[in-house]
Amino acid sequence: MPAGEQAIVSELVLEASGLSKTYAAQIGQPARQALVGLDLVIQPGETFGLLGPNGAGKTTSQKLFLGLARPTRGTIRVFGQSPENPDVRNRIGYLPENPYFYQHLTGEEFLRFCGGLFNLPRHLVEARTDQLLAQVRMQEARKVQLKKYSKGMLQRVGIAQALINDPELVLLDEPMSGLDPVGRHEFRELILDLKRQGKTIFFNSHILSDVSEICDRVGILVEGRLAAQAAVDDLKRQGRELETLFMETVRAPKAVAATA
Amino acid sequence: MNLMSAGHIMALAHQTWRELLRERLVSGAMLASVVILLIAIPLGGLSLGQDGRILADLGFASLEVTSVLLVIVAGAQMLPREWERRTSFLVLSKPVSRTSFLLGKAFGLLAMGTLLVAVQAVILLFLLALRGLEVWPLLGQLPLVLLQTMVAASLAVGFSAFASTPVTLLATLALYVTGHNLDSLQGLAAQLPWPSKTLLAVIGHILPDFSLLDLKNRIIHGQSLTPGLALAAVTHGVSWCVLALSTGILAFHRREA
Repeated sequence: MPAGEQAIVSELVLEASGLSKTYAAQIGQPARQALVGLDLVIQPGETFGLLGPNGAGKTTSQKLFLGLARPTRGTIRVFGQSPENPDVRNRIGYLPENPYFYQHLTGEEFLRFCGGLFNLPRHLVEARTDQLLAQVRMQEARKVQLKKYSKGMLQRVGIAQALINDPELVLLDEPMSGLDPVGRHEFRELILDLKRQGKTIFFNSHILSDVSEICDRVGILVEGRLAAQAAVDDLKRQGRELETLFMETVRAPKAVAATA
Repeated sequence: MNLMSAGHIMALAHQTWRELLRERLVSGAMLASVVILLIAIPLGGLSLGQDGRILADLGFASLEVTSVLLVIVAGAQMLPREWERRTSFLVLSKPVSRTSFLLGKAFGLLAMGTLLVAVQAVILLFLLALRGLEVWPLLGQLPLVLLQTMVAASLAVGFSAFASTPVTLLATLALYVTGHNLDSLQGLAAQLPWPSKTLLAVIGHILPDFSLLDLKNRIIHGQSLTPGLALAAVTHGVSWCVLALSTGILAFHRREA
């Protein structure tokens, strides 16, 4: 294939087809359908925001994209491969919803540990640790144990660990939750900076204003179903607020909402 | 597909080792075990007279029980806690296979077990030397204590891949205690009617035989440790470590976040 054509046929970052997940019944709890028939394609360099009420299936989607859970039905390809292949995850950075990190480690030890999990050379891990701690303004607390960090500090070190491998795809689960307005502003700037670098960003959020400012495209999950998808620019052109689309979609969960 | 990576295993073992070292339970238990040795040996000397062999027996028994108990308690909590605190999600979202994850955690625990045995052994041998006992012949027991600690740690990690902490604790302790008393179990089986007799006899043959790894009486009482006996003990111990960890890996591959 000529080089020109090769550039046109770009690899899809993420492709989900008919993706469903049902958690089996447990003692005292019935079986729960967390995701139903999700069809989704994410292009390289795109910033996609997945919205939805609590329990809509947003976190489950990310777990499936990372191979942490297995779909009941349907398929997922990340960079053309199964997410259960550990090698695929060399190209992914992930920030979980609540920063569950090893509390006994200091900030810099934690980043070194995460760098080690990507088998990066030691000098590169050191350089990236310094660079990222500076980027998230955590140099002064680098030798403090994570158990002494505030929620905002954990979130900062969390995004730093998600970027330690210079990933092509960044998955962020509720990255703004628990942050004060200053923290949210800084985080938004950081995500916009990643976007300018051409990273593909997929994030779950409740905060519509952030999503509207950052994302190219949004999807709204209701009771495990992708009830609406829209390009943010199209919404703006139509003079529609994201909040209006969100509320209409959430209030009419069974209806198949129009794709803007 | 990358099923196992030495780099990942090392990174996780180092993290686990550091976590255990900084954990109050482990550092407290290590301190307590040293204090027990420091008190038990001189007191034992007073009450038991000057029989150094009995003191050595007491010391090695204390060393073994403390090390085994500690790795069982730490190992039983290890994977359930990773799952509960969701730290496993963070690690498994990186290019780390579940095999590497479990082996990394297990090797970190085994390293901690080795440190426990080594620290206590130095103190024990020093105290025994102070009482005029020749310690060099006793060194042969140390690798076997270490092997028992490793089998117990592997069983705890293996169980914890699919069971809760209390179930893991009970199951591993039950295997350890029964494994030291397989002769009694076989003796009991002989007295029972069929089918209990056959059932108990079969169970007695498939459980780990910890008494095979417990040769301290033989060593302390001056009997030689033949190469055949040593080889049988090492083969038995290593096989059980491999079996327990392999079972744990298989179960861990099936777990979902």
